[in-house]
Amino acid sequence: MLCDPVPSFAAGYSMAYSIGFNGYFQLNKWTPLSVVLDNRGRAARGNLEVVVTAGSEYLEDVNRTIYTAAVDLPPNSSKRYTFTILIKSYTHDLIIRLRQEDNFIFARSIDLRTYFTEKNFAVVADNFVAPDILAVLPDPLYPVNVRPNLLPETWYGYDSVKLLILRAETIGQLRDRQFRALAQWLTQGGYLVVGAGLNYGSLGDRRLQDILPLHIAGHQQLSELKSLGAFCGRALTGTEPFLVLNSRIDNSKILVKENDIPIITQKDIEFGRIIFLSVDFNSPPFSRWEGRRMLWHKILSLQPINDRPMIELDEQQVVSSMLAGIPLKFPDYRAVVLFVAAYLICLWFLLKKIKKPGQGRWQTGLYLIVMIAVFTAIGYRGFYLPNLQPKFSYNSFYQIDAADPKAPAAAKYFIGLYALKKLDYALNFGSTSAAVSHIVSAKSDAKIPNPYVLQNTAGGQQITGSIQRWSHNFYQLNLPVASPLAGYARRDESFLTLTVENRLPHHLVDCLIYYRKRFLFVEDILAGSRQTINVNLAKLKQKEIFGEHQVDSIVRRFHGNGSDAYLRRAQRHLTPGLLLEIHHKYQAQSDSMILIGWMPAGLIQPQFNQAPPPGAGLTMINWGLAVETAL
Amino acid sequence: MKFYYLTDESEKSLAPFFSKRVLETVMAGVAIVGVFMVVFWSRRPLAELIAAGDTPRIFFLIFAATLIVYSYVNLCCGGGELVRRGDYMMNYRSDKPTHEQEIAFYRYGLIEFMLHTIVLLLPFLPLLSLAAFSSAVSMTTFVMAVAVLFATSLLCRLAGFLVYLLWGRSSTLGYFAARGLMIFFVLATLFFAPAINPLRQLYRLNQNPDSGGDLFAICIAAVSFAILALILINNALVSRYINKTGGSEVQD
Repeated sequence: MLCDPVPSFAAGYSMAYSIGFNGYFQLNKWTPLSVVLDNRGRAARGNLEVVVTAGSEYLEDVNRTIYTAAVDLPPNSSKRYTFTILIKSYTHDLIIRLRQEDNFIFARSIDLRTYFTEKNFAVVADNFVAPDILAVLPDPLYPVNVRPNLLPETWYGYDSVKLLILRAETIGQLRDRQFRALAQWLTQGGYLVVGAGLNYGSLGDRRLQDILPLHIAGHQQLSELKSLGAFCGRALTGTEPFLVLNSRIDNSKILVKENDIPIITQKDIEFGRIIFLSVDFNSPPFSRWEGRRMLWHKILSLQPINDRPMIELDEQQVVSSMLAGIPLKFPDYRAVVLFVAAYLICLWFLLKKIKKPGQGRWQTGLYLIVMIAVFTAIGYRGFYLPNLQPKFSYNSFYQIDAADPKAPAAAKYFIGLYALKKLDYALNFGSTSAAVSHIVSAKSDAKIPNPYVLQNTAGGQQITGSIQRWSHNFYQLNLPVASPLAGYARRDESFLTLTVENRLPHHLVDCLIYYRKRFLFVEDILAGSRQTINVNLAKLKQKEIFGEHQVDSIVRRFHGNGSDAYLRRAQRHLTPGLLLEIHHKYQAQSDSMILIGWMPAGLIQPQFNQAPPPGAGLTMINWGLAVETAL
Repeated sequence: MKFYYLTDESEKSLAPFFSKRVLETVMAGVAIVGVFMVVFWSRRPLAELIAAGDTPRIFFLIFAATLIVYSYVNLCCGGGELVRRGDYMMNYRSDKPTHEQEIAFYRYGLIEFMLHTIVLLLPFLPLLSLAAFSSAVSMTTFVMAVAVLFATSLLCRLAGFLVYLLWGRSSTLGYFAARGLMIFFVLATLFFAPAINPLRQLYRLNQNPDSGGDLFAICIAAVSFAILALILINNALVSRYINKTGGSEVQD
């Protein structure tokens, strides 16, 4: 386990850390990191920094991301700091250091080469596990035992976890942030196996009841589980008695039962799934049973499969559309030509008058100075103020991929920062738990992003960075959000009827429906309202099946450059790829439809540490839903 | 000092403020910079520049064009090349002593040169400011760039005057020497003393104005030193001329 106390350089401090799951991590996946600082000396304040280096010297794209948290250590104290970091390369050391103003109290480099794995993890979260439990976990996964207090505190910390196994009482031991992260991971497709222990008092824990509403009827003594034979191909037989928890779970499916006692129960939570074992998998006879490997294989095969096709927009396409919608522009060329011509004419006229001897030339000289001042002012008021005066601005693009109204939607939030002068900034997005990463535009000559720091604060994650003159920074946030749309789609012989409720404060405009290989523009969906959209199936059938040649005609519908210029530019940039992606993924699904709507507003408002710069937001929602047939 | 001399359009003045030829030359200079602006105005969309992380070069181009035009005008003014050719010059093909030569340099020539250099810069200001606005440079950077223009032009003005004092305004040798001095400072230093080259300074202010305040200080200090040296030399030459001829300061 990569969990190592570090003798500090400054007397009185020591550090222990744990990276990934039992020291192992997957490349390009979010990984939990826990650091415990112990202070036996004077009170200390500063910042704990975790420096993750990515890129290659050969490609000249080595870049560092710094994750940081404020540290306040009274004398004789010990505190845990947790991070979720993205490791993209194992060739560079990970650096953990404690900074006090400009000095490092200590720093530690960690060689990552020996700790990465290409497999997803099967995590057994328990302080005490049977010695050979890891050996019987399914092969495609990398089995690790993790102490519960080292489980991630963010939902995306489970990025590389395919299967999490723990005893029910462990859930009660998790810190609040750990539990919230676990619950969020589950709703998004996480897979959890919970085993019952002998102490069923812990099963009444409120948290456990929130995700697994158990009704307990007590323990029953059994000596064999023949029903497992039908489930996984090997029955548990023996003569020694053991205890089985007799319980029922609301809205669940019993997979295995013995003498009417549920042994294995499946409970689906939105996109995720919990398997509840009524036995203690860590105790005999289960821990010595020969069929354990087969059972775990069978359990792994039950993992939730999210077969809903996600609409993935190419991030470089999104970045291009955002660049096209930058809220800054150069003065119009024709206006500049007019300005120069007008100035030269006025100057020529006045100089001509000045050339004439006489008292009037002084007066004309005064006029000349006034004219120069006027033209300078025109340059300032007419060209600079409206176009370039805000030297720092931003725009954002928010894509929400929604499906089941009760399940969380997958959202991606992109923000682009643009500066005409060099400046430092700090921004945060509130308490939203989101995986933040940078994007380097393919159009940029730069191979690495401008430097930035991700800071864990009480108010959420904060990005602190600097930006060069005439440059940009792009960040992407991945986060789960409540579905913004609710409703259903029904079809009879003549009509497809879509009933949709827009829960957002803005209208959905330029709505397109994809159904039966055809795209169809439909009316706007008003904010906070419930409306019904009828599509005449006969007319739909008369439409030509979608092909690439129709892309241009659809894109042409998004015209105009007025106040909604950003919306229009983004639509023109993104729609071709979007249409082809939807057609490619949904053409085989005749019983599904997709609604695409645009919202000329940002649903996430970035908060800056300075006066908020001018910015523009845009949201695109794609909502996939099954069409019910009512013939 | 008599203000009348500033506008005296006779051949007694090197570059009177309302001189027809000076004003025509300035008009031509501003027109050249205006055309330069129209031709080199960035056609690339701002989004493309920001995407690539490029800085627009219009600020540098316009200031560089102004530097060359404005310095050349001042060089000619200092050398008396823009003075009206009067009967005396035409008939005798020889110079008539000028006010700048006959009055103590500190009391007239230097003050006139500085005032005239400032006044000649004014017509360029709307174009310079437009270039600065469209490059979104700060006021400090703009003032620094204008300071480079002014210092370089004053240097050229003084260099022109030195050539005039040494060879007169009709000398072929003086004509080429004056231009040689300007080419030396504006262009040649780019290769062997880039730190003091004004074009390089302007380029740096365009590309990276936030860094290199020291480089700006070095450049201005070097140019100021050269200006100071020329002031001393010119003053010595003017004083020698006044002592030799008895001067015309009695007129004051």
